[in-house]
Amino acid sequence: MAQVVTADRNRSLHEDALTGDEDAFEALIGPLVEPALRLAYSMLGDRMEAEDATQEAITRAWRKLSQLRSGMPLRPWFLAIVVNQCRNVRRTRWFRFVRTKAIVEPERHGEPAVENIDLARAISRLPDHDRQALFLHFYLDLPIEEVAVALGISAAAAKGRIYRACHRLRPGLLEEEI
Amino acid sequence: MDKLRPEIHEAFATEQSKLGNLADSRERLVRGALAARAVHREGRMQFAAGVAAVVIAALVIATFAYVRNGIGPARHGPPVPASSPTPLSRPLNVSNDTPVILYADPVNEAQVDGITWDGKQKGKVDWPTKQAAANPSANLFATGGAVHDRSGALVASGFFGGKSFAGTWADDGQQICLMVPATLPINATSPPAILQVVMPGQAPRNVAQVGRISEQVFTGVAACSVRKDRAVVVQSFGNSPSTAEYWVVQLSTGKVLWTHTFDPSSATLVVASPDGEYIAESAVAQTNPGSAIYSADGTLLARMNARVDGFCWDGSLAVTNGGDVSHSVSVITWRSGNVLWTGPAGYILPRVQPQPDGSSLAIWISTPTQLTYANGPHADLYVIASDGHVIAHVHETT
Repeated sequence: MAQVVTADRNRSLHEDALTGDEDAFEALIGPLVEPALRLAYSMLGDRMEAEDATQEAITRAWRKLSQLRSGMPLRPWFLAIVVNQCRNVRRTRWFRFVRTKAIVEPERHGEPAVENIDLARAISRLPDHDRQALFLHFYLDLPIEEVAVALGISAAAAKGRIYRACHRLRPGLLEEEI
Repeated sequence: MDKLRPEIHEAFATEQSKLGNLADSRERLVRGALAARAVHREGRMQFAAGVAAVVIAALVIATFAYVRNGIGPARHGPPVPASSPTPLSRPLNVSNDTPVILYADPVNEAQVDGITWDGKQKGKVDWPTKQAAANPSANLFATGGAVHDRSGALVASGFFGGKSFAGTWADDGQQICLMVPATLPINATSPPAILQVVMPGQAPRNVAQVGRISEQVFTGVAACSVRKDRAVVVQSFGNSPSTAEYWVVQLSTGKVLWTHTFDPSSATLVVASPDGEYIAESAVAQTNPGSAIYSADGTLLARMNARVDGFCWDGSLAVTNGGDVSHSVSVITWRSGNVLWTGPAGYILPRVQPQPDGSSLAIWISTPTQLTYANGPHADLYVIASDGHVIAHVHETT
């Protein structure tokens, strides 16, 4: 999953895709579909919804491919499109997504009592943007710089967001440890 | 941190395990996206063509107005009906297996007309009478005791409700789901009714006993899917559409897959996609309409701030309505919230018909005035494609 695909490494595929070569585009974007789908599922909580968002993100990536500059890493660029698409789904006027686990979760009472609760539940209680940063960094193994690109924030902000989230899970954690 | 990383990874991995097998996702989603891109491109061309057509039409109208009225303020008159001034006289000439939409002729209400789902062919249909219930393709027609085909020939006789048809055509277009009382006479202590699946001409098959039938309680079938092996049985108390309970029943075993009960005092409209995969529960109250969409296993999938009045064939599109004339009827992709089509303001929604094995929708909408016509309620029929464009529009039908 820690696969890094850059436009440089795939220069010929990128150039071929820009000319309308669908096979080249599939070879370029294909390895990123699974992490994209997992990210979308993490944000939306529903497989069909995640597939719809990922498919729409692929369509947008095709349209925006000319904006991907040479040397720019493909993975965070594409995942940023996925993040934006998922955010669009969630803010749509007609639609309010309800995750089942949000219904069955117990009431929130202040900060998570760190040592005594299930870590998964504690993660699910984090603000969405902190949770997304953790998912990209710890599950998809993206370096801080790629997390920053995917979330549309600076590297320092990405690092701060990950630290803040970790600190809520483990208050004794030092920033230097990240 | 070294300790935290694997813990966090494991927590996300547990969540992700619910995603299941992703083996086919890569090719399917990329190919789907590329196909969608082609549709977008076509859509843009259609949009450009549409804009051009509108500009040309505007020029023609402006020229006509200029010649007829001279230059000056626009004149407003009563709307000109687009329907033909005489009843359709040409028979609908399509094969028996071509699905059609039936509607009353706007000029001669006693006549039944039909239109193909692509809107290209239209004509009168000699059969059925308007009392017969058409299957999804409108090539078989059931009354309480018989099934006829489009030519009027008798296909089978049997019990399909007695005085009038009381069943729901299945999604194969051939079989019928029917609720019948377990014992007669029916009263408040009668045992639950029986859900039957009937192939016309053959003996009915009892599936399960769910719901009650009495003077004050009506139990019907909202969706009958022999292809997906389930039916959605809805029981309402008092005046429809107040719903008190519904069941998702597996047709092969009679097993109740999911049931949901309501307080009978809170009127709730329940509609299901034809395959029974999605069930929408909507508050009937005209203020603050709201709905929730569930899967057939009871998973809550979405909430919307509008009433759901119907689904397209695969359930991906919903027809929504705010509940009164201050809201418009819309077709939306309910998972994304994307609004594909919005009807004219001031109309309410009486009826939705999905295109069998397709994605278009036939929607009849009425103004409050049309509902109070002395010769019965009228409606305007819109046939809406899955991308939201209007395939056909018939004024003042029923």
